[in-house]
Amino acid sequence: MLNSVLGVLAERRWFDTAVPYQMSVHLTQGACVWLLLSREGVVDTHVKFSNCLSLENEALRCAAAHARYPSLAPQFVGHARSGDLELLVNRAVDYRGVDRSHLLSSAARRGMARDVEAYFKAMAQDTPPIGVGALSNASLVPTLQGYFSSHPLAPLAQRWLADGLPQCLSGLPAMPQHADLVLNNLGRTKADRLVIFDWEDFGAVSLPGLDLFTLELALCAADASCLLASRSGRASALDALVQSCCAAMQLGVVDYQRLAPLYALVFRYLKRNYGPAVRVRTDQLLQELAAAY
Amino acid sequence: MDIHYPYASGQARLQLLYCLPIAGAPQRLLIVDDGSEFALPADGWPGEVRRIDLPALLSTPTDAAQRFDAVALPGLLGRPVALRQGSGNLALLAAASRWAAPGGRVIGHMPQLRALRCLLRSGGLPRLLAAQFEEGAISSPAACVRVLRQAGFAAPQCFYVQPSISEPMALVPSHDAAARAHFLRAIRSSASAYSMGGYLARLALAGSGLGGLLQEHLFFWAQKPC
Repeated sequence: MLNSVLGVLAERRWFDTAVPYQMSVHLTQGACVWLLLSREGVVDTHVKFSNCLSLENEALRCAAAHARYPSLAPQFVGHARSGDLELLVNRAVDYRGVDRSHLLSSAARRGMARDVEAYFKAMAQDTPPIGVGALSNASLVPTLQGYFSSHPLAPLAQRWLADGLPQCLSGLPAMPQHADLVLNNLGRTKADRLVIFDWEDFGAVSLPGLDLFTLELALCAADASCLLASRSGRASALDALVQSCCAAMQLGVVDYQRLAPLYALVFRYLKRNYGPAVRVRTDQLLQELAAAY
Repeated sequence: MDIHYPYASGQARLQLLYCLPIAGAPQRLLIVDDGSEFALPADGWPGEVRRIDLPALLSTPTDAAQRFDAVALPGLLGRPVALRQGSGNLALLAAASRWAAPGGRVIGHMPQLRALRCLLRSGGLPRLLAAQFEEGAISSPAACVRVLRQAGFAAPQCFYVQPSISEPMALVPSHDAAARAHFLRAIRSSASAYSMGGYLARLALAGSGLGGLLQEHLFFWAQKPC
């Protein structure tokens, strides 16, 4: 299988396999494998491949993300099919992990946090990408109702979806979301600039505030009770970040906070494509939010 | 409905690792099984699979029609000779080569005897020392590549397995600069998972090029020349 992948890369001239290189193989708990190709420790090319899952839609999303956010999304190289094998190729980015302090410290407000705000501001000017299987805001509620009808959390989902959320949704503009904006998908470059990875769900939904909700939750260690406590407590660096990002998106903070159950349902719906451990954690989040909403 | 994926379990990912180096599909695979904890399951492979035990691998004559596109040696190299019916690494690889078709692969995983966890286990250090006196001893990725070449295989590759062979998530290249960069990246991108002391210790180890010592297993493959 690896030979086929490397053969396609060489054939398409996406990576020169004739020049010595090293390869890391990364497995997932899903249906894909990815390779990181480097030379003498310097990362060069990132290849995701699968022989049992189509990567075509994801390739469209990655291409759209790089076209719209060239400084934030890795450069899209191409998508190819060879027999039952599909490849998605991006240029690799050398990065370090991002944690709370990188977004919430006073120094962060001049660097990384400013890049986050810039992302939300640019998002407000953006339109949903075409041809990526996007779910419009108008079809969101019926889709969620259908998905959760056979889910163990169906009663909770029905309560939330019948409880004023559809009305909140009606006046909102469409803003394509990354849809998995969590700390693990953020990186910082050597120049201390933000880079965002994993655009596989980009534009799948256009619900303004979803990305901010997943980011806020991640900054609360994915703990819903911590998120709720933070919202009801004194002003904090997290509040400041949320307010500035809401302002950048021209979304009212009150509306944003009211929509938390809808964001959580959408997040869980999107996670139907992820591994079982992630789905269990997201279900737990829904149950924790049920205490407050 | 939620989608269920094929690589959710550690066993499925281990099988995937053994499939990755095999060219084309489906192919004929021979699994050599000595009944150890490292045995691979026989079902779930994309092509025809046959299992044999170690004595049969070593002693059964083969002809061209019996040869396989890949020979899997799960956990067989790098173990004490006494546990392998007296066969050293080189004898084992020579037998695997007999069973492989020209252009076929030998694929396997093995303990890394110099890994800190292996050394800290009871008998770890004597085992490493004893291996040094064995012909074709393998205690590191470089030794693995050397022994595969010595056994007549071409294009040998050896990787560190991260985090463990029972729940594999990555193969890390053993090339010095690439391994160093990988381990530094992995530690820095998950800094919050460690205590400050643990983080700094790992960073120091990785920075000095010794990150591979934290990995208990190696994964390798090589090609029988056509």
